[in-house]
Amino acid sequence: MELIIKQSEDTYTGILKGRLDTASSNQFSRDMQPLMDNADKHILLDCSELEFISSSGLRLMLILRKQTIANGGDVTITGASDEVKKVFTITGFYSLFNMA
Amino acid sequence: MKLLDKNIVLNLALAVMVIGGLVFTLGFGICLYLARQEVTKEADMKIERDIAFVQSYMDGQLQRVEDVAYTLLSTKFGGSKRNVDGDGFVAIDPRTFELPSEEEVFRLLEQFLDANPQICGAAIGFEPAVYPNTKGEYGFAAYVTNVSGKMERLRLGEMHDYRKKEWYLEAAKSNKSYWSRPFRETSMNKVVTCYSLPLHGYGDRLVGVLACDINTADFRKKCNEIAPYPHAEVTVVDREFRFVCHSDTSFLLKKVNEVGEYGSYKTDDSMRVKMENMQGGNYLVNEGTHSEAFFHFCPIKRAGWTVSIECPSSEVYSGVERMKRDTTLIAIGSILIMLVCFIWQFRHLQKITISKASIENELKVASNIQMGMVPKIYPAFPECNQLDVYGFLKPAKSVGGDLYDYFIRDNRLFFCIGDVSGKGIPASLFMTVIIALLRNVSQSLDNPADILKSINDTVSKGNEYCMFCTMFVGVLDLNTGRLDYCNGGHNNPFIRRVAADGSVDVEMMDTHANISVGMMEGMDFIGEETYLKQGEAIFLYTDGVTEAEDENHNLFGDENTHKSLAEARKGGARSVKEFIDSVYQSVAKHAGNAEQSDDITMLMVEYK
Repeated sequence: MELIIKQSEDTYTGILKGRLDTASSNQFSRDMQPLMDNADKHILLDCSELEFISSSGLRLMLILRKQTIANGGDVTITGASDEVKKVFTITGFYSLFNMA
Repeated sequence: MKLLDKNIVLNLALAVMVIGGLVFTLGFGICLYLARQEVTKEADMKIERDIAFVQSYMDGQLQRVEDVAYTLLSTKFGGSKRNVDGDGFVAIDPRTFELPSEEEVFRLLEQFLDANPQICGAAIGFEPAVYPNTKGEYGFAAYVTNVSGKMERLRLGEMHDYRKKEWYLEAAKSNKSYWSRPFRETSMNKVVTCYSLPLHGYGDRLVGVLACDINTADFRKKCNEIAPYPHAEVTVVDREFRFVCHSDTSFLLKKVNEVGEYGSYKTDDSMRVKMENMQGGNYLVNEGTHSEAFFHFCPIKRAGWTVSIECPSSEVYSGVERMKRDTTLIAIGSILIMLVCFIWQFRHLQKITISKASIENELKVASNIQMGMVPKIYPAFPECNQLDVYGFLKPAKSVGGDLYDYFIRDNRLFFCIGDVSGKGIPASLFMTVIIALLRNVSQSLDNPADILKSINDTVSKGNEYCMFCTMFVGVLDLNTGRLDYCNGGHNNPFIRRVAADGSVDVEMMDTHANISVGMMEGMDFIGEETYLKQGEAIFLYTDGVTEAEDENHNLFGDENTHKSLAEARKGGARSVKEFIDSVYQSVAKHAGNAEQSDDITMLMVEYK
């Protein structure tokens, strides 16, 4: 699992690569700290290279989402594969995030 | 915990000690052997060097005596010829040379002794009639001794019978210079050896003999000074194996075999033969009982003497022995320290294992509590013939986050399945909270959407870790077959429909996707409804079923779940338990030897 964070103006883009499962969730939780610190901005999660997401991964995205609600930012998820999109759909993620 | 058996600890410790000991002994043995060889070589060299020093010193001293004796005869008595190696005589030509007067002879001897302090006495005896005023068998003979720098003259005559003495006789007989057997000069209490040099006249006729007495005390002193090892004994014997030099003066002039303690010289016949033939050598000899000694010897040919050095092996090897002792002590110490560390570490490990075991035990208890929370009695409602319900939960770790529940209230069946995010203890804690809340709110609420909203609002509050639970809740009216349900982020269930013609079809339900329970406070949940006819059933499962992996990480998938469910009937499954067992068999077959990575939970409700 790899998370690359890019910044342009007031948008932070996190590019997620690989499998976000229970095993990699601890690492991801530390890696996404810069996004947590900028939860008052627009955050874009690029999931086009995300192969798999487990409930532990969803939980971390949810933490980020709640932080943006508290700080006045927002989270947009883009490029999710059908497999990942299905997980987002089933678990009701769609109603919590901006999907693009 | 067999690993922690005291005997095993002891055996391991013993094994460590024995193996450590063996490895050490072997390694040290080799080191010791090499060190011993090196020390032996060094000792041989050291002794050889010292013996060569003593030999060359004594030989040099003796040679100087020969040289000065020759010089005296050749310069003052007109001699001219000398055989090689001093083993000869000096010849004069009486036709051209006149012998010094008697007084002159004494004076010459005094000068000679004065110039050569290593010579303690000198005599010159002449054949009868060489000097005038002599008569009979004896001629003129002068003897001067140097007593601490004071010269004492003595005219030897009839009374002394010098022509019968060894020093005169041997030189006269052989016409060659001669080193006498060492003897005790009683008047001076000295052990003395004497060098005789004949003086020849015309036609090899003997004219006289010069004799020089040498005190061997100086040699003894030299011997005592040389000590390659503290108790090394440097000795000199003459050609008859009598001691000339020995640290114990009472041994002097005694034969080696007369001195009981001194057995070295006769230990080995080949050694004795070598000595008799004036050869050198080195041997390892027995010295007393159970002890060995290095024995080196080397000849002083001109006098027929043999110098020897004897060193006890115990002294030669004392360094090695000390090393052996010290290293053994260090090794024993190291092994003991190792043992203590080993036992200490083992105790530590034991404690960890015990605490781990206690955690494992607690997990097991937690698992039992958790499994106690889901209904497990089958048939679930034996008194109700309108229903067949069966639930199945197989946790991946000892405690998991999956749940299911069912109960009847007011002739309605409340049922639910759920999957908490994550695994292990945090998930199981959340799961028990969900079940408790579900049972609580279901007492007053009838609508699944209301039930989920209530639970969601409760658990979302202060849910710092954003734990959430996908949940499907259904309420089946047993009178009408009406099924109200609400899907909170869970996998879509399968439903078994019976067509009007009696054909059976399994299909995946298309439900409205609400958020999972715990995700966000205040969210609305949208419920739906359908009707179940007799013989129709609903099959709920968690992603542990559809995402069961084989060894190549291939997922079991929705299709296979669908297929195995549809085909279960052909396989003879009739009761819901048989259906679920059949699906689980398919999942297990797919997984093969792969480790179960997620909880596997299924719940099936049939309306009869």
